[in-house]
Amino acid sequence: MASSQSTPINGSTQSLISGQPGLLSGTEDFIDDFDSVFSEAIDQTLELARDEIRTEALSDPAWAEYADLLNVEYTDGSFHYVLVGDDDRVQEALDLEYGGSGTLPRSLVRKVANRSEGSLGRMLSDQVNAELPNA
Amino acid sequence: MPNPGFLLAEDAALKTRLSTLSVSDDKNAERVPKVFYRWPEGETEKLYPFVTINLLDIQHAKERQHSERDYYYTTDASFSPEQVAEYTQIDYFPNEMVESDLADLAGTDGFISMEQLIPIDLLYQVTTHTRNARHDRQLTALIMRRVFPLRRGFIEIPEDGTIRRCDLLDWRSANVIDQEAGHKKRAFRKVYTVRISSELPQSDFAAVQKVLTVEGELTDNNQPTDVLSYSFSEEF
Repeated sequence: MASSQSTPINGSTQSLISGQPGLLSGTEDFIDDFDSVFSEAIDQTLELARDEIRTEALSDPAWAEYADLLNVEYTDGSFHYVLVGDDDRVQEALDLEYGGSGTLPRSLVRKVANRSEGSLGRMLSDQVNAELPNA
Repeated sequence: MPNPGFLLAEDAALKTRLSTLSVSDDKNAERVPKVFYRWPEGETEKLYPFVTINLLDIQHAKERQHSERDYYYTTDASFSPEQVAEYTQIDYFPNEMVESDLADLAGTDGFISMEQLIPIDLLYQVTTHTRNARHDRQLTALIMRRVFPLRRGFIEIPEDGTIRRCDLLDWRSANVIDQEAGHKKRAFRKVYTVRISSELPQSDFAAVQKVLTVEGELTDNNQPTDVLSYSFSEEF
């Protein structure tokens, strides 16, 4: 059975989507453009972030076999690193991340999440800006 | 006992902060959990509840990195208090010295300088281990209220007199059936991920020499042959 467990460490994009009250006073066309560019930019950012954490997992012997479980989601204006897959394997990966009974934690998700806290938001802004330089 | 040094000071501060916890039950009104760095492997029969600290990661906090500049500290008595405040741009050496140590280092009328600091994020995992669900809840309540309060997390580092950020990033329940107890007992575990801000120096403090004389002459750049002022020497 598939499951999804999220770690609540976010790369916030809150300021980008709620920052400027004047942003929405433009034309409808512009807003339509912005919405499509924005959602495309989110997809690209998610893909880049997922590739990044999976590459990092593959370079760690302990994490390599769980690399396929690592994913990134965008919900409620924030990025979340999540483990998606078979329950037992997700639990094994969580034991690795947080430590099991008597075993030390070998954190990967939290390290990457902490490092990318700002960079995910910047990556997203860069992609939006590249498409809509006047936004 | 002070623990000067990068990581040593933060580790000790975190341990001190966690050592103030206590839980109660019908048999004992005050059980103080021991705090260990990493898993206490030497303890064959563990005394629950206890707390473990693991350092997960050291990262360059690039978003807090300033442009390159030097920092100064002075004890020069000839300056007015306003000048001292203006010239003194740092009053500690990360993890090692408080202001009085800097004053000793500078000596009388001294001026010392060091290079820019490197901002660092330290990622720690703090885990509480209990056998009793009520102890587990009591510890969560205490830690969320007193140790790592959201929004206002801070930690005092006595080795350099600074108060740092100490942000709770993640809370997770990680209860297990205890492997070491033959899978017969439960261990209630709560995992807190915290980030403590720190700094690494790029250089040691060095004494700055005061300028005693300035010698030279002024010329007009547009007409280099036109000397505005011949050689002068000014003593300070």
